[in-house]
Amino acid sequence: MNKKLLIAVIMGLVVGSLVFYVNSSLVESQHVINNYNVLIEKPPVLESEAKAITLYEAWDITQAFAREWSDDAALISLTSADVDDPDATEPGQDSRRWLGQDGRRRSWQAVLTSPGLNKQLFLQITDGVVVDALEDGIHDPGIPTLAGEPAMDSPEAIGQAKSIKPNFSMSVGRGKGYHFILQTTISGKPVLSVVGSHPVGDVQLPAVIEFDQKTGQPVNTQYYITNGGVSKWKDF
Amino acid sequence: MERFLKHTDKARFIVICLIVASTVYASLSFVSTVRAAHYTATVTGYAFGYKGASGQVLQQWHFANHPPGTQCGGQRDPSGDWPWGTKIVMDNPVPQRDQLNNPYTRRAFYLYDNGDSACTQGMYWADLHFGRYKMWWYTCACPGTPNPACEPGWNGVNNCQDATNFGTGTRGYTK
Repeated sequence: MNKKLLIAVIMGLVVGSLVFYVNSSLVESQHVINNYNVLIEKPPVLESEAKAITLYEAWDITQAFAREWSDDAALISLTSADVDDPDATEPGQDSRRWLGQDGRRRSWQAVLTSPGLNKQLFLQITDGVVVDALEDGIHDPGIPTLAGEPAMDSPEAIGQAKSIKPNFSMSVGRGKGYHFILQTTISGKPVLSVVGSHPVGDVQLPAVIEFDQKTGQPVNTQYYITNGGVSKWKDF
Repeated sequence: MERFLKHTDKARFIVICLIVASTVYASLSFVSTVRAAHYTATVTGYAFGYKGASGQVLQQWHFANHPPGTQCGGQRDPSGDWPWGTKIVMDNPVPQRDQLNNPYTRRAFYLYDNGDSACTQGMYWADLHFGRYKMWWYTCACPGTPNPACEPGWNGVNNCQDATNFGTGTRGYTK
């Protein structure tokens, strides 16, 4: 076979394969995944007996549900919430014990991910029961997950927070009472954040005290300040 | 029935049926509205933020709305009183991209941030978070994000551009 003809054939094969590969990748990348699927729909009115639970208890309920959902389910975050908590949302109902003063909250929200299912799972636990569950989005390899039970439970965390900052008290911002957030910082450190408020000068500002999720050691204390219309978390 | 109707004013019978049916329909509609309130409002997108007003590290399923007490044209925006963790479901799926630039959609968003205290966006405004991914050649800045923080992405992902492309529009959502 003529040498030039051979080179042309080879080049043709390479270029053809390359164009096919690029085209396939483009076609694949245009395939948009829509995973929205309601597993448990929250009833219009939640009529349950008040049952405030700790972070560990919310963790256990989340893990039990997650195991049924997917073998490879991993937790992204677990946080207490004000939604569907009459103690937090109805005037005159602020039972301090149930707003995190003792580390217990009535509503918690968890986000999980499953590489196998390529889905994320969103749960709401209220009064010890999973009342809302839905799949949405996709498994994102860029979002870190939390492995292993946290080093301490929320009742211990609130005690620790108050021993570090004795004037640390209940929220003054939009949140009510104390909140507990198991999450990963932007630097990749898993933390248990306790959110409340702290005096800064003459003003009581939203504040957060963060503990290393694995060791329980405090790693960060910040308050939330708005200056010139710009709000940000600042170390103190 | 035939006999019964013979002795009754058929027209009145039909009218009563219609009234009862209308009442039942209206009641059910009301119940359904109470159950899942629907809003049509300005919905925007933001990106590259780090920690929201709630103390949560912002994620692609979070949204912000007006802080409590926000006045919009002399009226208090009721959505400013929605508690942390409030879920909204968009009428139409919202296109987003993960760290590898894979396109997908999301409909549910959870309230964990505040914004627009001057109410430039109107009542029931919602600001959806699109994420923090960017390539190294993009600057870590996104218009409207006062404290930008971003993370490495691949395949040309740029969540700031995604938020910009989503733009500002009147959109529907259910709470």
